[in-house]
Amino acid sequence: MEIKKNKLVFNIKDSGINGIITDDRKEIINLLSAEDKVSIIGEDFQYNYFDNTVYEYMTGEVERKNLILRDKAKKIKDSLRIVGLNKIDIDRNVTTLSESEKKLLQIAIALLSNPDILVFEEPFTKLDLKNQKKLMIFLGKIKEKFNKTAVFITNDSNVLYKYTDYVIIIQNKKLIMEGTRRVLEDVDALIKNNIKVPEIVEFTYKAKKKYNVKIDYHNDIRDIIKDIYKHV
Amino acid sequence: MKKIIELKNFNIGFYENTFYTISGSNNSGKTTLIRTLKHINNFSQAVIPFELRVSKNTILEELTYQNNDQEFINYLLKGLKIKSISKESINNLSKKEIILVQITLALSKRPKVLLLDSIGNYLKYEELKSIFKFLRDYQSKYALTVVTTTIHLEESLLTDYLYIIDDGMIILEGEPLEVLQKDNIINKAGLEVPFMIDLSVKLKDYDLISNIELDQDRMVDILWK
Repeated sequence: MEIKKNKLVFNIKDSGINGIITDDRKEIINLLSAEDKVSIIGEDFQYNYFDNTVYEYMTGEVERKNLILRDKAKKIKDSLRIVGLNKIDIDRNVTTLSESEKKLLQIAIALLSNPDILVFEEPFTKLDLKNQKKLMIFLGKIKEKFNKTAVFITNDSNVLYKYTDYVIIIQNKKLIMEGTRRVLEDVDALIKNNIKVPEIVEFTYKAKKKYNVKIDYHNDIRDIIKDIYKHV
Repeated sequence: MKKIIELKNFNIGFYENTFYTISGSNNSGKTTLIRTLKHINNFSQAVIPFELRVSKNTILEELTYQNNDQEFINYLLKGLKIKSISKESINNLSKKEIILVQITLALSKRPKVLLLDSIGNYLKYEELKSIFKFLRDYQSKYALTVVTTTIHLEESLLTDYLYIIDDGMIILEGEPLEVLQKDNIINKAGLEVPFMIDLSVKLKDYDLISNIELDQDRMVDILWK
């Protein structure tokens, strides 16, 4: 999908996970949400005073978002089931949900409008490693089963280098870099644009630059250890 | 009925003027512990992001209402870098500014214990470091124990002592650098070991280095110089 506004043009790849680094998150979210079939999953879970249970929260969101659903109750239950929240969770008070469960509930709500693209604002800041992995497995499944695309908007380059396939960097309303996650290995360009270099890339870059060590860039620490062992 | 959280056989102690981290995966009981600590100790103040009640129009009015020692209030405003917004209403602030105001308000009550509940989730690491640096300065002037919770273990390296809880129990405790080397237990608890410690531990396993190294340049020199 091509996103275009004035001189800014970038692509969301419908295969795999996209990552966007930007200095104007609000503007990019506005641009994406103006497209058809896009749902935004915000960084924070917004409580609503009047909705006590998970089910009430979901029906409340359907009304607040003016969603027109045929067989609302079934759709809500199906959506909860897809994200892995089960029958017991439907009657739970939303204030008792853990951070990961709140994220799943946000996704369940996003899925109600049957979007093609799920846009996550800072998806991992509140998730531990176990739940990050669970979310990635879930996104892999809905990609395979329902052909959904995910977009992560975050300035955490470590997360993008670890989990995404395609990276887009936008600064001052201009596209700076776009390509596979390997664009995050262009350390000089990242530094020039004041973008944090992923730690694992930075280490490899320093070894290459200072001692001309022939190790490759990897996004898994176990692979880099094997490479160091061969070249030390 | 599904059990949401349980703290089991909990025995946890905090020394005066010391900086603690409590870490654990999502749903491990961190916020429950902070709320419990707040209620069992009359001298503590808790900062739970965005849980804030104010009665005055501006931040400065609220602070002066809590504590009329102008010199002390100025020290807090300057140290936490919120002097420029002190005449604003709380309603006009960003997430980061709200947290800074919450900390200022908590400290204005001169607590002996300051409890911070996962404030790092809403701040850049450099911003958190700057807050912790100020709290260290505060500790050097006034006695204060700080207890902060997080899922991001690198934050513990800025503090003196680390507790890791899992399933409502303490599974590891000690000086952060020592605790963070127990990578298997930490990963099993659903947490991520900071990159340079993870790298060091694994290189130590291969006998390629002998000590934990947090600095990337020094690590590169040790391996290839």
